[in-house]
Amino acid sequence: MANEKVDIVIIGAGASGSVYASVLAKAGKKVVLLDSGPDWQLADLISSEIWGRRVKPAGAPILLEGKNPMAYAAQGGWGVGGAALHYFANFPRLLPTDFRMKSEHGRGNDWPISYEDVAPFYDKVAREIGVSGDAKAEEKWRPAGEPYPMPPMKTFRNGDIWLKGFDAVGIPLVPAPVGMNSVEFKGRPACLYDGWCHVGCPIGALANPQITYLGEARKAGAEVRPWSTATRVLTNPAGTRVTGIEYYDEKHQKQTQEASVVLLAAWSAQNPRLLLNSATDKHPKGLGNASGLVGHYMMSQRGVSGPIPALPPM
Amino acid sequence: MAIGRRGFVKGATLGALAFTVGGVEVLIAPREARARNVPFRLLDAHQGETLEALGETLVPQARDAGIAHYIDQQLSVPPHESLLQARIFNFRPPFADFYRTAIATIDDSSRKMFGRDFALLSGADQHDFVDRMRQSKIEGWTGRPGAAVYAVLRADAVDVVWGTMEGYEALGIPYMPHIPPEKRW
Repeated sequence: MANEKVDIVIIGAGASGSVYASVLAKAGKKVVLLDSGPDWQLADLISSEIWGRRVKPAGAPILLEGKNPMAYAAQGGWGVGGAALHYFANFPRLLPTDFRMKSEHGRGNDWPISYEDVAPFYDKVAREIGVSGDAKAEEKWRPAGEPYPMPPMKTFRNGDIWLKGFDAVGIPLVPAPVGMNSVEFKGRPACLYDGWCHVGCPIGALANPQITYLGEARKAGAEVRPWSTATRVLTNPAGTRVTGIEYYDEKHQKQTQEASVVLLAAWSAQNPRLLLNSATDKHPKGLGNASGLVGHYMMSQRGVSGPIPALPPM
Repeated sequence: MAIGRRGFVKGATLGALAFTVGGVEVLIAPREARARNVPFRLLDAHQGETLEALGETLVPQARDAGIAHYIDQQLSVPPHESLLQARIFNFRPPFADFYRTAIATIDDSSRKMFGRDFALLSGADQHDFVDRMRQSKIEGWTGRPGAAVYAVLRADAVDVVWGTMEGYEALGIPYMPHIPPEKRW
């Protein structure tokens, strides 16, 4: 079934898709967001370790291969809001040297942009969604910017122990910038410090898409279609223009959505899948994959945990 | 009668799961399903018994908390509704394949080591077996590594015993819910 052509169709209603939807819908564009999962509401975010798994990735597993395969599910999301529905809202900034790793450290590659190019957007996002932190304290490492709109979050006993330990060995720590309200912000309440961030914050103290950009996008007229699984980016016969997206709706009916612009914001695992699955005779290796690198060099963060016997009892 | 998405969401709000009692689907917690001897949907009696024995070995009280009924019910729902750790561990659905294979492998190894199925072993032998499985040190083991099987089953057992409001209470951790799961599960 074909739908009326829109200006932009966005695949994925999570952390990035919701930002694009907000900006474009407020600019008067006709925007449709497709998301493969449910249209989660704040009232669905039950405070439960077990029920909280509903917002985690579902369906076919993400199977990585290569020299360093890794598990790739727990950090993702499923449904409207995506991973940002259950994230811990950490908003660390890159440092200027991170953009020059090749020239300064001989590792990786230099970026074609610098910290100075990105810095205004760090400040803009902090202003828009509400970030708590101590910019002055961070500026011992990074160039000055705007102060955060809220003071840092409280620290508790475990944080105090870490501070004391690092202070003893001369390593300075500063409060982490987080997208959580240390005080009331834009009509949203302050955090209660009850620790349920990882299954989704239903009170609006943590900046998830539902209460930030996606909320704004909807108010500006963007349409969200949940339970809509995108399968292919469509192109014209010459393979010179993208014309829309093919997807399957909640009733498993094949649909097409024509659009002037198709924006893939479907997670680092699903964007490559879509591009590779959109191969045509004009793009036999998949869309945007003349290099053959689409789907390669996936990166993730590494966490380490374990007991530290030297810590005093809590 | 199947419970659709509305029923599923309602069940989630209640903190209960849909079990079939007398041909009718009712929303109850796994502990109650076990106490009422609700028939399994996918597991057979031996598989259920083995999961209970494994669960109890890994986390005491898992049997009464309804670990086998919890896993069985969760295997019967579509993968995107599943609350099992297998989903978080990125296993390929259907998750029943993992459990059936794991149980068969465990029994096979148990018979080679002790001459009996796992569920029939003494408590000491069950602990010994699970300890070796944890370290992937069982000879002739096939399928996913013993450590992976251990991790999934242990996580399931922890879920039904300690992942509940009662579990938090017993551990002395304030639950502080925004939206509490009713029936305390």
